[in-house]
Amino acid sequence: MRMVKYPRMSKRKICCFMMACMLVVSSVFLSACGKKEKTVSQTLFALDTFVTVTIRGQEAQEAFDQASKVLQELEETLSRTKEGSEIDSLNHSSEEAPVALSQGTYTVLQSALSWSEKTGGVFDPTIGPVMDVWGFGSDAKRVPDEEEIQTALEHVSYTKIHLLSDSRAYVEPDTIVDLGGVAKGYIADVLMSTILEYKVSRVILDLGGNVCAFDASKELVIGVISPSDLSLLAAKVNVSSKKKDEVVSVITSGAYERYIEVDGVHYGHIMDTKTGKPVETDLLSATVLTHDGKEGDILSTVLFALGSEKAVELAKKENIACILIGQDGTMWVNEDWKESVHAEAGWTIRYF
Amino acid sequence: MLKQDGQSDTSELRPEKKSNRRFRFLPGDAMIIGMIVVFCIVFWAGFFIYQKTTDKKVRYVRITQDGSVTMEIPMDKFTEPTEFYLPGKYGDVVIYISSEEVYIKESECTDKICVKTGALKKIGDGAVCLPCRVVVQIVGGKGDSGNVSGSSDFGEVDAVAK
Repeated sequence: MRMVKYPRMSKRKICCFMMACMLVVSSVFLSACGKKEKTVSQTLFALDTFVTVTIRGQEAQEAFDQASKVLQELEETLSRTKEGSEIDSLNHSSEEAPVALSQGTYTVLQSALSWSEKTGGVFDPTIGPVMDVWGFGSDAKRVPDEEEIQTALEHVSYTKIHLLSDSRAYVEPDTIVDLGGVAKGYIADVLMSTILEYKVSRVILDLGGNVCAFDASKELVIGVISPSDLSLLAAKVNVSSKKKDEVVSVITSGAYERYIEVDGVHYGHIMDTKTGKPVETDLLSATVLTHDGKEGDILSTVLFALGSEKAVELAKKENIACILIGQDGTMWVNEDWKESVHAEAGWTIRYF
Repeated sequence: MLKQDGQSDTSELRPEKKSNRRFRFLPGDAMIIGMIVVFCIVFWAGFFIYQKTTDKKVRYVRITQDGSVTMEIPMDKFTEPTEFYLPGKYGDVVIYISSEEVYIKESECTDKICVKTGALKKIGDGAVCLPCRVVVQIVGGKGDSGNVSGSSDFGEVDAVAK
């Protein structure tokens, strides 16, 4: 070791050492600051249910604040009970005095009417009067008599809604449009696109059990509740929604949450639009997996109301990804979702 | 200094003995590298230990009625199990709280979904009585934004559709 050379080398080493230190320190700072993603998770009471919004990301709070505003606006626009809402105005419209709707409401109505036609009225956004006589949506749930049901049914038909050009529409006298069967799915879609305009990496929206999810980094596992025991799951579904245009909605319809029980008889809230009484179905629940929340909301109701045989037929024809849970313990799942849907113990899975 | 034909005349700038600039691995270098490695290991170990310890949050039981928080107390205070009677729209909602678990024991609502939800044990669990507008949650601290899935003990799922 020559003393002459050492100082020349040590300069380089000092430089290297300093660079290494800077690298370590900057990596530490980057990891500490870069991961400063905040998680906001809040539950709001809206749409007559609890809405839980969970957002992770650098702009989680800003995204949540904006989503809350949008939720409030949409609730006021789509509610039929709030005076002055678009749907309230529509229900008071006539051929002579049609109302101008926002593009969003008009699109929801278009979608609802399209599926009403396709399903021959199994889904009908004018079912409101029937729901009213049963007391669903109010505190006075009861079993109405036949006469009341028939009177209510006279006003039920999706053909009484007329969509005009320029986002205008009107309804025939005494028709009540109620978008309860589609609003949550649509609102979830709008909330999600609002939130995704911010720097966020994970969003889970739970609108009273309707799930809409996005995660940029990993595959999500969505549980489907067991309709026969609400403390258990019937299935787990692996979904990938890593891109903003791949957001997945998982929407379930069933008669196990909203119902009336009188003298031991269980009356579910999903009505047969022909009889005005709860649908008679061999299904306990129908879950739809979709990228379009509003369609998913409609289709889960339709599939549930149709019963297993017709539901499977429609799902095949329209290529609907779904999980149908039957009263006999059978679970029907699309062949395409074989790898993603995992039934819990006690259910017999059948692919179609 | 470049010549027109592209060849450089740098002979004057070159060190006389090239071999003098060759790097030699000296004991001091090993020490420096060792110090950096040790520093990194110690730092990351400390970071992970910190994360682990902060994850072990105190569980708070939060009861919300009509959107307002009516109670927010650490669960470990309930060494003696207690039943709370919350006046609801349809009568009392009875909430059982112990240091281990919380659940809605009774409710006068029609569907009893809140009662069927069962015991809440970990942060993030929640039970909802929609007719009475009562939410019972386990959260990680006062003012911590909990979420209500209306479900508990579903294992490793990100959300539950129902």
